[in-house]
Amino acid sequence: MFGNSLSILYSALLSDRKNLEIRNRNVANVNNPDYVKEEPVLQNLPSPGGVEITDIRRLSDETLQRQVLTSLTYLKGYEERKNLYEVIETYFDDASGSGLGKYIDNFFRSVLQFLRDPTNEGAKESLLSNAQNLITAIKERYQQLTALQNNLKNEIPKVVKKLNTLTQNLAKVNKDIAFLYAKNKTNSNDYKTLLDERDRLLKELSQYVNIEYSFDKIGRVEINIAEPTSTASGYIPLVSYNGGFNQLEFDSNTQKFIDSNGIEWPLEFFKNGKLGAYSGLIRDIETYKSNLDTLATTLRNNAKITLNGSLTQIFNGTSASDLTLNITKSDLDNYDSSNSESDQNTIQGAWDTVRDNYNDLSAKISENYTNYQIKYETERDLNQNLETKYNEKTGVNLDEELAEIMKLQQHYQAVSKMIATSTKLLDYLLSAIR
Amino acid sequence: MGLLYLDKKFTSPFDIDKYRPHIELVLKLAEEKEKFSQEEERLLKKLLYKLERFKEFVDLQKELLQVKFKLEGRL
Repeated sequence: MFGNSLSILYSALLSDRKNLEIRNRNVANVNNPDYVKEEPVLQNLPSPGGVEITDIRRLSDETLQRQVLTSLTYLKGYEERKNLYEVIETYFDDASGSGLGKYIDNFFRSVLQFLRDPTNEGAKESLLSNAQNLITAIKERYQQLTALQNNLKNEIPKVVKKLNTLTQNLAKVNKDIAFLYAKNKTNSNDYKTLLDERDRLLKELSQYVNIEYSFDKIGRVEINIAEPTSTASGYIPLVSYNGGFNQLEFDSNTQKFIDSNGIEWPLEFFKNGKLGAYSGLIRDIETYKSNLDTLATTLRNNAKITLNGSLTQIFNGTSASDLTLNITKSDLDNYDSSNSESDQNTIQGAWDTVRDNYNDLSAKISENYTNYQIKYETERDLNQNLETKYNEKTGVNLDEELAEIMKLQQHYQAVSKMIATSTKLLDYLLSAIR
Repeated sequence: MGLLYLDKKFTSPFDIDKYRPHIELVLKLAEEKEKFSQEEERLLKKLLYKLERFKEFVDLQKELLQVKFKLEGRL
């Protein structure tokens, strides 16, 4: 009877000690954002009885974790887009005077002024200088956009490098989990640390691409890059349960990714996360550059005055980058004022066409900027909310842990006293028998 | 119109029930209004985006739970 009692009390003492170790570990990690709280799983022992810790439960919430990661992917993508649009908008912001609007208006105004008074030397100078300013402004915007686009293109290999490192690390975590699981299934402090590391790496990976992942029973992770909204079908397998992994390479000439299996993935495949943002922005900028080309050709085709008896283009060139002035001061000196009225009508029409063309471009940029701002702000708030909820569930609450530790201490002391009393009682009985 | 209030307070799908009457009222007022100021337009666009995004959130939550319950044999 005494043997059984002591055995039960001993099992309680052991459980308390293990429980204390878990609580201490929780408290030690109170400021570690990647740490997921642990709790002991207690089980009654069969006859003669007692209690033991059969497992250590990691208080994770996979559903919420997925939502946090999805939201993070969106957030990082929109953040990049919003930040870059903030810059692009300054190139076309007419409210602050940095847009092309004032250059277009100044140019056409000076042409009309010249046509109304063709002998005015000041008007001629003004026309030529405003035309030159407009050419410079268009070229400058084109160059600024090209520079931004090149910066983004240079960022992609860096992201790919980061992705590859994260993929390798996650594959290594999978191997380590399998190894430690086989070696020491329960009571494995290091194993839990690996799961925290796995979650940390998944979070980091989510910033760059949209991932789909699943855990197996022992906590290994299988990951694919998946873009359900992408026109390019399929998914890129990144990490498998057995520790296999895929690596990506970016070919800057073809603008394509090649994975370890030799499969090519177009840049457009990526829609979300930082990589999705870079891919989208590169294409957006390409569109704006082509819009600038259209603006330049519209200007070239429509801005005309009659010189030497025929309507002559004020500008020459085939795109925004090679736009040049097609008239000289002597052309203006020889201008036949009898064409003034019809030329004024032509120029007025050209002004409206070019302005409409530019307004469309400027409005498109402004609308995209507002949309990304809205999406970024919404996702930022949502992500903060989800992170808070996730941390409430998985993070360590110091008050709760200290209360548990105090309870355990009292329990430990009570059990110790019971053991001491039982031992004394046993000694007393034994001495009485003798 | 109450758009600014909603913009500050309605920030998570978990708040949908709490702010549903307010959202409905704001949308009704927006329907009746003929023209919006620039800021109202931005906030209204943001509210509509939030509703769309939070719906996506709830749908994903539903899918994940269905998969989880099936795996655990509870459904």
